[in-house]
Amino acid sequence: MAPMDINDWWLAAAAVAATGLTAPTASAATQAGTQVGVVTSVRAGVVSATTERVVYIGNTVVFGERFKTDSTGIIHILFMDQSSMTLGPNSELVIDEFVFQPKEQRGNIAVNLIKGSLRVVGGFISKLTSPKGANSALVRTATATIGIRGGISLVEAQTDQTQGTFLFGEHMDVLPPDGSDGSSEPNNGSRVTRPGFSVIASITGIGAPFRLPVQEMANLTSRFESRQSNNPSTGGNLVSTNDRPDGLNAPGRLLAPDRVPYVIADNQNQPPDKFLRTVMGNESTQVQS
Amino acid sequence: MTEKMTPISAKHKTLLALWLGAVATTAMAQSAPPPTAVEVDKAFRDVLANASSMEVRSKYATMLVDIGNFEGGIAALEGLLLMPDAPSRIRVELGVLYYRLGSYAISESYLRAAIADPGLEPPLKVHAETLLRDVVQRNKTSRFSGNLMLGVRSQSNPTSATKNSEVYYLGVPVARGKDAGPKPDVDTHFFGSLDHELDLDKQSEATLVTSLVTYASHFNSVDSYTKQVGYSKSFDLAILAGTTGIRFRPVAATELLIRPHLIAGVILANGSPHFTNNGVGIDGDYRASETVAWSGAYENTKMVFSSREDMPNVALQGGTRQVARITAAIETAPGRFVITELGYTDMDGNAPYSAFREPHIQVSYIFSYAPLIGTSALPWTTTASITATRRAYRGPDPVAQPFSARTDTGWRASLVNTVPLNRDLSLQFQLDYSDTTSNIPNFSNTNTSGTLAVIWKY
Repeated sequence: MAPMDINDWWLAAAAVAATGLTAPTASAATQAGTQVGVVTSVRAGVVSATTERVVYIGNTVVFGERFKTDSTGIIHILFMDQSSMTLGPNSELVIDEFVFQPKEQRGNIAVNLIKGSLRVVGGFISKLTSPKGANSALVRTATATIGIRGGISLVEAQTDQTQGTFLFGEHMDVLPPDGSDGSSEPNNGSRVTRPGFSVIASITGIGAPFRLPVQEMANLTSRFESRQSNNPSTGGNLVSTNDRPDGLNAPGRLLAPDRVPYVIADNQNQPPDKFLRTVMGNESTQVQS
Repeated sequence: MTEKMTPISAKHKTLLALWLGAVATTAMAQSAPPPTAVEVDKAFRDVLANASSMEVRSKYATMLVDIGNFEGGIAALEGLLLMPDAPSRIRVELGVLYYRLGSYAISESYLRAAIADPGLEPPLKVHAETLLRDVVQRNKTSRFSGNLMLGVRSQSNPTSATKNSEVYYLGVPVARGKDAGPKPDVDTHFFGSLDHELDLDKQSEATLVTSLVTYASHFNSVDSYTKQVGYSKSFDLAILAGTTGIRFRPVAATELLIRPHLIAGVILANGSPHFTNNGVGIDGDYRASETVAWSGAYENTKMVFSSREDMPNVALQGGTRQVARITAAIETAPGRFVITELGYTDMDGNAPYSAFREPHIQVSYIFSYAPLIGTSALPWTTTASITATRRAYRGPDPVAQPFSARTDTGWRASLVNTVPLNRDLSLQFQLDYSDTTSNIPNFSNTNTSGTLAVIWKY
């Protein structure tokens, strides 16, 4: 099959839009055929093994659907709870479970990554805290069950090992394949709470978290991208700093999540006067000045 | 007993009031309200219905960022990287969003890819390179940072000489000596800090944090370091101080960080040892949210003074000093912070007149804003603070007033303006005014100072 160009995508999207696709407003149940999301991006080389169709942008994603990608295929799915998953090349994924009740903003999400690479960005479901404990988005592989709590993770599954990389959120649990539902802290797995750390689970056991070198991180994320486009931007403010006023929207330390403690520290030790008062004992004396 | 406010200090107070008024006015300026949940939901449904529209998806991502849902913004934007016509700036957007989440390794990988893209417009490339510097630093396991400062300061009363014309000697009021009053002076000072963090790669974020500071000053009036009893000029100071300890999260997946640490310091006055200050401490901070943080510290140190012929009985100034401090800070709007600090010092001095207890409160308002002049995109920052203290000594000073213990009430106003010249260099202008009123007139004083400094951050 020849790769589609951008015009094909637009035509496909228009065709889907013309069918009157609307998002469900009632709760979605885990019945085969129930819509759980939409394909929001795709690079040619993706098929739905369930419906035996080529996948296009704008296609409905249904519960139980199985996606396969070849060496060029990548698919990005936006789920009804506003979580998203990106399936990399040479991968295979089944939507195992998806229940979402929009009014309560709760439910369950679980996928089976048979092989390949997957990026998960948690939505409402993975952020829910119920009386039973904290909810997680689950990714099951041949060698591990990975629970992603309120955040972003990368999962790489091979026949004999799985690597989970935690990028953001509350935590990522890496458990044996028959692991729990992720609602409690694992006692037979590994919990990662620091962004940028990975865990490898193999048939021989689950390792300890380790820092993933930046270059390896770049290699992992590059699997979910097309080649760089060299497509000049149109200018204007960045979306990522749009919430900041003019003059403060340039990327910098004032955007860091730890900026408030930094400001406290800077303020407390400002030389010369505050520094001197701290060192000399808050005393105004002949020597201090 | 105290003099009326001088015209100079009244003028400074007026200036401070004007500055604070300007600050308050600016702080009240409102930005556009963030989108409602209904609007965000509608934008989400628009994406579901029209997934191929870059415009629709950008609008959705923008709304998510506006409500602080950065991971949602990432979910909306990352899919665009699959599109062959995705603009080059998408990787900058993702690098910034991951930075805002504190996920620095992936932020670095996106920023590097963006900078390597020849299609990225030059201004964005500069922004990406600026952010990348900070990100690279954060991703290192061994991190050095610090700053060097060279400043000139003018003070109206650097020796804290009394402002009263009558003082006590052995409990008897006498006229203050003619030369014992406030004398202005100018000093040149150097401040350097070197911080090192060694990340131990633990999930608790255990990091060995070591901080060294050095300070040296020279006053214009000091022309030699001869030691004389009754020396009345300012002292040139040289300070070397440091702390070291392991900072870590005591409870996993919380925003609480603590650092028990060792403290050491040595202070020289006019080239000779003055005192050492060694002990232990613990500090910590807790981020209640991205815009609210608490900080606390406790230090217990022993101050040991050196015997000097120009400072009789100076050893009695030493003792054990305990300092506790708790600070709350809130970002009231982007780049605007209010910081309130409550502190308590208990100095168990070697003599009743060197032992005191002192609570203090400080309120600071810090705001950053677009440069008023120049083409630099780096924001200027102004800090206005007011501090109030009340110090009660345990016993009377037999030389000044043997019949009653000293109690001081002090307040201090400070205004600091930092103007970045580029990413490394900045100028700092600082105005300070302090006023101490004591029940023993010998110790009532005021001081006004102005500082101009150049700071190099590395």
